[in-house]
Amino acid sequence: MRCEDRGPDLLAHALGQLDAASRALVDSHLPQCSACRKERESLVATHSATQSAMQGASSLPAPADGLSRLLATLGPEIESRRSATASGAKSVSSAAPCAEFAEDVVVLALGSAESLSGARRDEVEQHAASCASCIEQLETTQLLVSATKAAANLAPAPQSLQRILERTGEPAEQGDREALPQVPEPTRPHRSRFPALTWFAPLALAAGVLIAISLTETEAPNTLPEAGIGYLHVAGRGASKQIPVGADSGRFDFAIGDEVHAGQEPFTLEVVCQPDAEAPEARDRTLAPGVARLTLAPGSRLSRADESRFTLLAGQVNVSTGPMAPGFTVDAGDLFARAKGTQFVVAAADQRLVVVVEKGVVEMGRRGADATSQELTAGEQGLVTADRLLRRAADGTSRGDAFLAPRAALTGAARVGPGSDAEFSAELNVGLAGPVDIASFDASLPLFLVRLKGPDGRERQVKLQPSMLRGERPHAADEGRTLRLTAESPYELRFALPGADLGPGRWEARLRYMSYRAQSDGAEWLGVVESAPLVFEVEGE
Amino acid sequence: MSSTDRDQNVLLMERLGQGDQSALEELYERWSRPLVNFLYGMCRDRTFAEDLMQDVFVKVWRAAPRYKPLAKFSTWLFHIARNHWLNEREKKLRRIRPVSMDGGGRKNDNGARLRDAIPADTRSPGDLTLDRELADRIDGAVAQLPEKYRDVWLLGASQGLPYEQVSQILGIPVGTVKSRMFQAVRKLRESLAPYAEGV
Repeated sequence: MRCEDRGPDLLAHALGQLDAASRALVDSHLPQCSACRKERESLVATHSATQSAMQGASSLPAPADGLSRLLATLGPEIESRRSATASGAKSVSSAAPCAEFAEDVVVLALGSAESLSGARRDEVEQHAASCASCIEQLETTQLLVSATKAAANLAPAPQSLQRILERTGEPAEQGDREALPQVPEPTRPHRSRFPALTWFAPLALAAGVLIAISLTETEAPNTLPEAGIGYLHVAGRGASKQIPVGADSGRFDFAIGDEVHAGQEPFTLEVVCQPDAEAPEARDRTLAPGVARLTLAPGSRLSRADESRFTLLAGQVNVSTGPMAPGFTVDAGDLFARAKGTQFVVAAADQRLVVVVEKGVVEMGRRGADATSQELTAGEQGLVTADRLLRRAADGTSRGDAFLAPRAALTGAARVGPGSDAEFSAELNVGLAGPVDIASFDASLPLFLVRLKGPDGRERQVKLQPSMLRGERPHAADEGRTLRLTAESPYELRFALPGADLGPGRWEARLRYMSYRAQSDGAEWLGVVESAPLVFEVEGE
Repeated sequence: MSSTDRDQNVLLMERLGQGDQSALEELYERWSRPLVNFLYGMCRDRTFAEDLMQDVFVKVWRAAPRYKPLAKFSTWLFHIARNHWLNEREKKLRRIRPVSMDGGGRKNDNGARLRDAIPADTRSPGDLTLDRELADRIDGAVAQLPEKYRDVWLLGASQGLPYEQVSQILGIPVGTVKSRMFQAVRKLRESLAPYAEGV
């Protein structure tokens, strides 16, 4: 076997998955081949790293309410089986597997039992009486049969062929014309001796029809999915499945108590909150009165509390509303954001609510014993927690989720000569409510990372070790693992990357750092922030 | 899994066949997490994976009266799960697209981009952040794998099942499992190569 074909065996050997003979072959080859040893090592390293990552931090937990939903779904069946067992009834396990009966159960449901032999019919009927899955199949098929039979039996109008031929301009075959029914000529109108009564009957009929329509017509569903895929969880259905809804599925009712979840992509829906809303003289109207357009970020969840009040259960929702009173509200626990014809983004996580206002005015606050609120106007963002309510100018790069983290502006030369270093500088300004600590990424103490994207489109990440940083450093704490920034002392750092290592072409660089705010009872994690990208060109020789 | 664990699964299935709710709860406790992760690896949609997982347990419950331990319980269980996913995926409204390596990845499953307070984990925030980012990258790289390689990787690496068992679940020869696992790891190695340790 050639070495370049040994890859599968090398990996399987490392994982202990080879049979004895194959293992012996690899065992005898490896001491003689450094290339295969190196390849085996590389494959194992990738396998281990990816396996650890998938089994660790990113492993999904089971859903918290999964067991209760399952038990609710199976409740009657559990009881039925338990009773059957207790009474000593013959277990279904004595019957053949359902696969053997599935087709004949459908025959029963179609009412064609006579097509089965007598013995077989008895066997299927006996099995279907005690097998839960076959009972379900029987009932489902019977429902489908009933629905099909109840559907209107439409026949084409007699003049259909003539109309089609006229529209297509195709001359009809002689035989076709002869097949058309003869339409009688209109007769002369009959003149009534009581002209008023002539009109009364049709008007009365029309009025009756209109009254009947107004009494029986149900309101159109209040929500239109516009983009993406979401899931509607209808209140009170307990453990039933969530219903997928998307742009292809048409309108649906988002009723009070229901929940909507976004799938893997942003999910946009337009919700009618107030069908009878009047249009005041709004100075900033984005949508029709009483209508809200909501875009849920992937994985976000929203429930409806009343006509114009929603609860953000998880994630982020972008809200755009037409004028409505008393105002469109998004709650997260005791925290809320309320708008009356505006566009804003609200994100919630644990005990924080962050709002970024794009248009109009948003009131943001908290309820309860320490109730308070503040109005944010377009171009502002705010954060509310149990003990803080902060407000600042919105920054387009942060999108509200790095509200308190220090901001950095990365600058550098637009062109780097061949063989020269690429010089950069960045100024970090602490956000509101400092001081803020910049934390190192790992034990090798890099306080900053530079994310680079090269001309080939591939990404690299460079750790900036303390020795690579120039400029006066702010106060270092925790044996140099952190830097402390205060409002009075922004940090200006400088560093260089060798141009020779970057290669010629167009590059994009972003500075990354992590920060947290020390508190007396621990720390508030502010997250990882990136600067806006800096584009530069490295010249070739 | 030890023979004791294997026997335990068989015993639980016997009890399940007699209507023992506690057996269902115990099976759920044992297998819900591996199943939801396996199904998520297949469909790349957490909500859908949770629904599929529920369906699998319903199938397990209904099959319990006629269950016979002809193969390992996990083989049988993952076989059911994979077949259910293959049947159900046609019902989704749109084709699942792989997670973007630059996009939210799993960190968006909960929607929030705000960070928690520093967790009680003794690792540094840096380690936690890099772990999470690496997991996102790997998640994206796995999503980009061709389906036949991803299936083998999910069962063999993510779930840690031996090649023999993977071959039984997927209905393919062991040699094919070996070859596809190698291809999966090779592609993951290529996808994750761009990170450099410093200049």
